[in-house]
Amino acid sequence: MATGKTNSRHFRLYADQVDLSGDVRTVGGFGLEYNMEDVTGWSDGVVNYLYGTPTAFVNGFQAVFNNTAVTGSHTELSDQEEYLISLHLGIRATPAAGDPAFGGPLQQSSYTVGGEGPVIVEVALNGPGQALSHPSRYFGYVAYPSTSITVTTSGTGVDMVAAQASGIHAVLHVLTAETVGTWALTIQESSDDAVGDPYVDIITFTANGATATAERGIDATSVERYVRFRAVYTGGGSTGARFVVTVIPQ
Amino acid sequence: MATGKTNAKHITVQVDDTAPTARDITPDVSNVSGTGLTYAEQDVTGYSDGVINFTLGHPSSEIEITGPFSNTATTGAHTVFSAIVGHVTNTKTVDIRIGIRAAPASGDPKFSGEYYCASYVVSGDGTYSARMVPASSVVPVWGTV
Repeated sequence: MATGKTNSRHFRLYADQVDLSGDVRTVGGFGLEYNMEDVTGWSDGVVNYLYGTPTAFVNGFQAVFNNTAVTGSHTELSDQEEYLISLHLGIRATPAAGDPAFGGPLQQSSYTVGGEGPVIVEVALNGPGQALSHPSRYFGYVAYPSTSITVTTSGTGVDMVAAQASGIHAVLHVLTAETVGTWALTIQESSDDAVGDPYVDIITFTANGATATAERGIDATSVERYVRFRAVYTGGGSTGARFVVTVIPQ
Repeated sequence: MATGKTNAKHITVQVDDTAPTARDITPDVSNVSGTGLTYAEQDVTGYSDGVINFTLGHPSSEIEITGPFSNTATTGAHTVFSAIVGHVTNTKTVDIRIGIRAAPASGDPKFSGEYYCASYVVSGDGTYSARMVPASSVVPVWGTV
């Protein structure tokens, strides 16, 4: 993990089981915008507000048109559905564990094709669909940058600065599926990055690496300061599986 | 303290983190707009008045801070704003100091008040935008460093 300023060429975008980074070339903006409720009374000195409901979004999102099977921008984005998104913000280099990230469920509200010269696609993603477990925050950390592995692996511990009383959401993308054995995929916590407190599992994903997919795991209880991704392989010689994970404190 | 005209390069911006502890995010700021108060105008012109005239209502103060994205520990704009957007536990002091042709010194102008962070948006060009709105009934004020 590095800190400081960066350039958007080091951003990476994942939607469900697809790495769109090779096609994406513009993202207008992504973040949270709160409806602010005006609660000003006559005797108040200034117009003042209370927080209302936030909207999470990715707008101004453009990619080069690409109809490559499975991984092309057109192939993936023309479905118009709700995606599990991870946007990893590499700091002057390819994203690494601990770098900033934006992630969670976002519903696609538009898909258009156009452009002069290269054909481009434009997509708007606005908030999650109806569900019982919406995240309240979308900015978090890269827990595991896009990496193909063939043996049991523990990711680098991610320092969330403090324990998270409201828990975390974790977004897993299985970009390339294993074709021989299976993977047990978990998020683990430790209070001190395993100096004296060993990592223990807190989220176990249903996905086992045998299918390219995406999944959101939730731990709504208090989570310790450090978290990491762990992938345990069972089976014969692995053909390799590629994973991406984002953790978002709530 | 100096007096006279100045350049924006001498402005400093401090915003509370969630603690709340003031954090100097100036290296990650390239523009601050809306610093100050704008009063609601109520048109009270009558038939016999010689000119359209107004009374003033509540002032409003919406500050938009933009600049390069940075996750520098503790004081980076991303580090501060991504944590305080929607954070209701306490209000956040915004302190904007205007140095006069030099770093802000005692007696130079400053504007400060208590705010909430209403939005934090990162753009694909590696910049961010954060919007701050008043969080209490106490009016933000112009003062001096």
